[in-house]
Amino acid sequence: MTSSDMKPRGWWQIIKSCSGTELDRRNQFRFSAWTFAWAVSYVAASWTLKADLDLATPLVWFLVAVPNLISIVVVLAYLHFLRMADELLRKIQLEGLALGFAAGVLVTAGYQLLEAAGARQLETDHIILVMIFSWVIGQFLGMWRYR
Amino acid sequence: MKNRLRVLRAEREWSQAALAEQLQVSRQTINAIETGKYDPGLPLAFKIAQLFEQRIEDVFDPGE
Repeated sequence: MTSSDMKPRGWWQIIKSCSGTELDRRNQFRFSAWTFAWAVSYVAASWTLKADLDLATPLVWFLVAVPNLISIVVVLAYLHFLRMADELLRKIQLEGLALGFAAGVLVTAGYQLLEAAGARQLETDHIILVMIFSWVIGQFLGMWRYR
Repeated sequence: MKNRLRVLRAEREWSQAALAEQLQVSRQTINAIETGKYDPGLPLAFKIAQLFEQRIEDVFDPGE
């Protein structure tokens, strides 16, 4: 067993060793960059539209269109990353997505019962956050299992 | 599924990283296969067998 065959210890080492091949890292960076661009455009558009600025209609449409167009690129970048990914990395991503989706559905359904019992209404943002958080947790669990 | 990947790799004195590079997969994938945590798909299994000039059933054993 060579030194490079040692089992990674600590989360950072595990994440580093689980990031796939060089191609995966490039595709993951591209996906992250587009996600960041989407987040910035979404926050900027959301903030501008909520502020009482009396904007012209074309500008309103522009502010709505930009994050949505970027979101299409984000989805395409993720699909490209997934299709090109190392097969174990693809499995880890799939398990993460499954956890994210399941958590989103279950939390939404579960909270509806709380709403019926009088809790305040659940916002879409919160469901999205639960799904993203569960997706990330699912990836960490996969990385840990196959480290 | 059992496999002889670690043995075959050791015979050639290759590191996991070196083998991963030849197979165009991550080092983690090699490690997961060797430790039995992950069974590779058919294309990768054939690629491994081809690289070690073995029949696929001589590298991977479905066991009982």
